Formats: sequence, structure tokens, C-alpha cells
Amino acid sequence: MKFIFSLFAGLLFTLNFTQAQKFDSKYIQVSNSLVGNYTIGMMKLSRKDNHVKVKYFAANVNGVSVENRYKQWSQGKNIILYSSGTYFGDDGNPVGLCIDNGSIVNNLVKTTGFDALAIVYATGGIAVSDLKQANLNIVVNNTPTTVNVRNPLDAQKFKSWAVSNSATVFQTHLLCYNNDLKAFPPNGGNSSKEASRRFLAVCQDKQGAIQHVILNIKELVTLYEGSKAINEYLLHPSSVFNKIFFMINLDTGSQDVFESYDGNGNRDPRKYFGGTTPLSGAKNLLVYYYE
Amino acid sequence: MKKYVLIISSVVLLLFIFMGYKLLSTNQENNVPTVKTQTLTRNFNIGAFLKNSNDVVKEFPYDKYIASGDYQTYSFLRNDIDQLSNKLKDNSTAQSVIYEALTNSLIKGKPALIGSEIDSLIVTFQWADKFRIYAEADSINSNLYSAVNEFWMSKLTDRLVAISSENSNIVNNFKFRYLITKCNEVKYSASINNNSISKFIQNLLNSNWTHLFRQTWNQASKLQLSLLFIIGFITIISYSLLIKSIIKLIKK
Repeated sequence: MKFIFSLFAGLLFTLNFTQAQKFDSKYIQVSNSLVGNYTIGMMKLSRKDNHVKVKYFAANVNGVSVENRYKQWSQGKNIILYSSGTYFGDDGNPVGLCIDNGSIVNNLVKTTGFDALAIVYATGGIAVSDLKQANLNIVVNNTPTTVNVRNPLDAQKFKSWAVSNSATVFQTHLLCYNNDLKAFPPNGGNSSKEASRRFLAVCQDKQGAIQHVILNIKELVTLYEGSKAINEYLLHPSSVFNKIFFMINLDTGSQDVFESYDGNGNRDPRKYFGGTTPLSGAKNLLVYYYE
Repeated sequence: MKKYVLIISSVVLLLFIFMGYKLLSTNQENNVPTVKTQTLTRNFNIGAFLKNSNDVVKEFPYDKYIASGDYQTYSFLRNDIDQLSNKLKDNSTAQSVIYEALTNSLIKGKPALIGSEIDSLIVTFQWADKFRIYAEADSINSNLYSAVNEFWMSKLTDRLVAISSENSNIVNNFKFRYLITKCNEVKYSASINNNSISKFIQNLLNSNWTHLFRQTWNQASKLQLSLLFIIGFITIISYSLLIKSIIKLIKK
């Protein structure tokens, strides 16, 4: 009897352990900050010890929606947050070059604007290349090669590399690169549209650790004004960061999907940590999880 | 009261006339052009050029090569790449020379390939799409063929976006939609943003009634829906009044 009871209790404990989300909150810091005139919901995700990882769902695949792909994949995983990724056209296809886990979604490299080429690795990392600098480094046939993705001859080498490495790739607005602001004022190229904004910045803190920062602005602001304010805030002498490797834009227009969770798997109900579109409206999805 | 009813029903009638005009003015002509396959003769003697050239890359006669039209025949093209590779002892540089000829030199020599006529754009698509197939068939030069294909697909989709910005009605034309669909098939998405009227007409043409109803219902604000109901209600009343008076007239 004692044995059966212990077995039952053990089983209950195991079930509870696998179902509940668990992650060490020291790797995730959530706060509201006043940046200029804007209140910003900020999530700092430390990549230290390689617990925090990224996954990107670029599109529906074989008739399976992004929502269903995410639901299937996320079973048993500790989700920190998910957010819509890049823009998409009226035909539902992503704007710019897009590859999902080594499978081509859109071949078309956008040659103006959308200077950020984001590469999400199967290992859970993310890197961004400034397409204007035309100096993306890849390894082709065991030889390090620098490619200009906007040159069709080089683009084929990059696409072959991405396909053979099961990489996930998408294009979006580059807002900041190596501390330099890359967004332009409305008369210099970027839109004058005021909207709520969400950015992903990858920064280095003053201890040398890499942190991914999700910044959510609910107030209506132009891409330039929002980027400028955050760039100045992250690099302010009082900031914990001393370098922004890159900052990219995440879509909050047609799809404003965003949900974040605490260490116990409870959704954060505060408006600065959520979006306005349900998961079913996601055309693509950037997911942070803890492993 | 009757005056207001008359005004609103006139507005509704005008709205229907406008939508009807938009629907009828879309060009649904569907005779898609096709390129006839014909045997072309060799015009450019690459052997003679390579024999007399000291610097193949600098001296390559791009204009003459384009004017010869030899690039339109796969066997000639393949032969040119092979001869260039042998002379340069480097397939990659040979590919770069042919790439330059088939992209920047060709568009300079024949700007009409990316003109405003949808028929000519369809022909350009059909020509460029051959390179996608060549890339699958010839693994040695697949990088070159895919790059040529990408160059033209990129120019083509940019042109389609520009045309649709200049004339938003064109997105409902059959040939325009055909070309967009062909581009999407080979995973070159032009990401053309349609205005609300164009989306409405496209769904109407495709008989997507459920989608139309759902989108109208979901996208409209409460105020818009209330206005719609009021207009709908007044329209029904006004038409029943009209029918009533017609019946009265007939009875008299």
C-alpha cells in the first residue's frame, strides 16, 4: 500500500514538474522604464550559460499555421515570450528573403530598406548582418567566405549555406548596428507613420555578458523617434550596457502578437508585456524559451 | 423625411454604380503570351574572340554578345561558359562574365524587357524562369543560372510593385494577377499591398463571399457597423416605399 502511494505521489510530482513552466528568473529581468516621453516594457534575457534560446517560425508550412506549429513545438518547453517577427504582404508572404529551417519561403532579397538580415540558428542563437555593409561571413566547403547577399551571385552561396545548415532567415528594418543608429528620420527614408513599436536589441553589459532585450512601446511613435530614444537610453552612461550589437524592428502593425510569461508559466497581464493580436493572427513568430 | 430617404437611397445607388463600374472596368482578358521555340543560328564566334584576347574579362564584348542573341539558346550558352572556363582556367570568373552579360548588359541593351506592358513582363518571366530550370539541370553552373534568375525576378517584382503604385486598379487585371501568381509559385513574392477596394473586387471576382462578410464584419468599427445598419434600414424602407407607390400607381 505504502509502495503504491509513493508511486502515485511520485507520478503526480513528475507530471506537475513536466507541465509547469520552470526557469531561473536570474536570467530574465522584467521592468517598466521611462525612456524620454515613452514608457517602455523591457525584458532583458541573459544568454549567459546558454539557457535562454531563440526559435523563429517564418511562415505556415505545408498548410500548418504558425499558431499550430508553435503549439506543437512548444509542448513541454519553458516559454519566456513570443512576439510577431517581420512584416508580411497582402498575399500573406513575408517581405524580403525568408528561409524557414532550411526551407525557402521567399527568395526575393529586398534591396532597399530592410537592411537587417537576421539568422536564427538551430542551436538557439541569433545573429544580424547589416546588408549595406555587404560583409556577411559564412563557411562554404570548409572555406570562410564573405558574401554580399544583395548581389545575386553571392546570394546563391548564402541560400545554399542556409539550406544545408537548416538556418532560419528573415529580413527586417535595421535600427541600430554596433552602437550606430541606423533608422532614418521620415524625410530620410523611414516612414512617418506613428505606431506602437517593438524592438529586439542584442547588447553587451558592462560585465561582458550578452543580453537580448525586448522593448515594447505602447505609445504611438515613428520608427526613427522610437529607435533614437532607445538607442540613447541603452547607451547612456548610467545604463548596464556598453554596446548594442544590433537592434531590429518587430512587426506591431497587421500582427501585434506578444505574450510573456513569468518563471511559473503565468502570463504577464500588464499592457506593456502583451500585444493586441491573438496567437491565431500570427503570420510569423519569434519565440524565446528556457532550456 | 421623404427627402432624406431619397438622398440616402441615391447615395446607395451611386455606390452600387461605382462598384459596378470598378468591377466591369477590370481587364479580364486571359490570352497569356507564349514564346515560340525556334532554332536560332550561331552569331557570335567566341572561339575567335578568345584566341585574340589578352584579357578576356576586360575585353569581353558585352554589347556584341547581347546583340548576337546567342544567349537565348541553352547549348550555345553552355558552350560559351565552357570555352570561357577553359581559357580563364577558372569557372567562377567565367560565370561572372556571363552573369554580367545576361544581367546588367542585357537590361542596358534591352530596357523593354522590364517595361510597363504586362504581356512583355510575362514573356520576361518565362525567359527568366528557364534559368531556374537550367540551375536544377546543370549543377556545375547552377550558381550562375540561379543568380541570373534572381536578378530578373527581382527586377520583375520591383516593376510590378511600381506599376501597382502608379495604377492601383491594375491589381485586379487577370494578366497582372497571373504574373503575381507565377512569381509566388517560384517563391518570389512581390508583396503588393492592395487598397481596400481592390481587395473587395478581388474577393468578389473569386466569389469569396464568406471571406468578404467576415472581413467586413471584423474590420468595421462599432460606429461603422451602426451606420451600415442605419443605411441598410433606411434603404429597405425607401425601396418598400418606392415599391408601394409604384403598386399604387399601377392600381390607379
